[in-house]
Amino acid sequence: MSKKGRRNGFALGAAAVLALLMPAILAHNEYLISVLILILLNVLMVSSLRTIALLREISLGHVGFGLIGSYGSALFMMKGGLSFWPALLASGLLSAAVALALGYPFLRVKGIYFSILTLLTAETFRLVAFYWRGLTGGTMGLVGIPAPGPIALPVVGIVSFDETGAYYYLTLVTFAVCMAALYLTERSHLGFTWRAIKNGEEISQSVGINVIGYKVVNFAIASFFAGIAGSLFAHYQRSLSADFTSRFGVVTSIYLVVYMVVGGQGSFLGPAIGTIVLTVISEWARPMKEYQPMIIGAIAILVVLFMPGGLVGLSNLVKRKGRGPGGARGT
Amino acid sequence: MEILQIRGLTMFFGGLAAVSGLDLSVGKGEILGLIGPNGAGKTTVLNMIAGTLRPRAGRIALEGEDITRWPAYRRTRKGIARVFQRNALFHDMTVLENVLAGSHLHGTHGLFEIFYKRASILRQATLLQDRAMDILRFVGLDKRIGQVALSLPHGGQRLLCLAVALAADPRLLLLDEPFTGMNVEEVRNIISLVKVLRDERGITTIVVEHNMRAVLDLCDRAVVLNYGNKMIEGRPRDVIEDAAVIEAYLGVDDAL
Repeated sequence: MSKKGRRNGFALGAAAVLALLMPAILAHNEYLISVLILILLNVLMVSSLRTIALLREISLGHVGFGLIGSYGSALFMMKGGLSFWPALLASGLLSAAVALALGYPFLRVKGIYFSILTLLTAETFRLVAFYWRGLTGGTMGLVGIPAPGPIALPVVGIVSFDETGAYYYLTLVTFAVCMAALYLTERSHLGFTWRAIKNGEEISQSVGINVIGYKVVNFAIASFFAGIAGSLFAHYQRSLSADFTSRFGVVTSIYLVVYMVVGGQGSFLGPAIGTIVLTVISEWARPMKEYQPMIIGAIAILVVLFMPGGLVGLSNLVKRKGRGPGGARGT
Repeated sequence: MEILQIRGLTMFFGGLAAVSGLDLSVGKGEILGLIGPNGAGKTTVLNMIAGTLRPRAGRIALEGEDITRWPAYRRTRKGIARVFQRNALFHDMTVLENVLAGSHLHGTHGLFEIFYKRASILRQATLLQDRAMDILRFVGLDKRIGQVALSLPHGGQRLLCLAVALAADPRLLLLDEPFTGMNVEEVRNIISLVKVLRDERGITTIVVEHNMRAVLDLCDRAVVLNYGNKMIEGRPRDVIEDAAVIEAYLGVDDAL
């Protein structure tokens, strides 16, 4: 057990060092670093999507709460006069508050009905952002979103976040804190209760669990982190558009679910693995233009058919084989 | 003294009155059998007491407090726990985790307790584990704590259902056909457990059951329901020998 703990600690440390060195490894290539930032934000989105999936519900509108975070944060800074960090927190809280308000009616329905409701809600958010010219710039988009203000660090000196490399580190730190919070939440009493609810709502009620209450809190927590990811996205892009083909379209929500399923929703690391693998593949397939979604789709179908546990399940399989007689240790 | 008081309880399914104007009082520490032919409304009554069904009319009071409009989870907090007809368990969780989930109300307070005050939570977790182990020892599952609930045999799952219900520390226990599919030995075991609960902890039990032998051995009083109404009540022996009851059972084709 402690051996496993030490191995996990080592893996985590290695991942942290790798993440820190990544810009240098990529030779400070702006484009590649921007892909890295996008991966971090998507992992955060998919991991918080998985929080909802812990209750066996699939949200097809997670990006809607990212949108609230994006526009919220941008407007908190541009019109509310907040500086970046308060705006970041406030946008997460705003997203969570909207989820709290909507969660109560939404979570009375389950399964496909919940998915449809979330899908339509995200589209509604998008359309409001798209047409509310006075607030969001409407179809013109919201431009001139400030970057986080520069900070003075010991040793490094003044760091200005309108530079991609610096923004990567800011994203990485926030990402790490959020992932740790998600992980601890899942391992807490709260997470245990979610697991109980997933196992059976009727019996959960009968042992005194306020099922709807716990679901609403779950939805709000997941939306909080979607809001944070949205905020980080907004201040990186520096402009927002709620066009159908933008990041806030339905397609993104669907991709998030695909990342989660391909990675494996049964494990905390599944969403990260799915997001990283599929993002790298789709960036590689970018020159193929309209065939790009087909490649992702084909991978999703293959994984669902042959690896119901997702890519994470594959690593377990390799591990089990490796332990067998004469089997070589898998990578 | 009464723990549960039901007045004019009524429930319709479509146009059909499943329960109509039922009056029922249950004394503290009593073991009450609810019997009757299929479709008499027994489980419906149990569902309304547990709070999974909202009655169309009538009033349910627990120790004088009107709980008619309360959701199920709130009733559990006031001391009503139930064992479902099917083996409703946290199937993918271990035996111990099942009882810990059942102790939900005794763990942390409120929704927002997450990862603060680690030391006190750990102490509390140990307490809860000890308590869960006591309960599992009581029902005789303490040797199987690491087993996944679904992998237990039917009888074991029933005992685990009882353990989960007990984890909520109930004052009123609702058992829905606890003896279905059990052999004589297992039936006797559950009967003695329920009696110990009554004698040592003063737990009141309402049991819906078809197994008349078990009702005779277990219950202090029996109430016969037919067409959603109380037909007769009294000592189990008297009730079961009552001519009208026999007719109600036999009148409905091969009900027994």
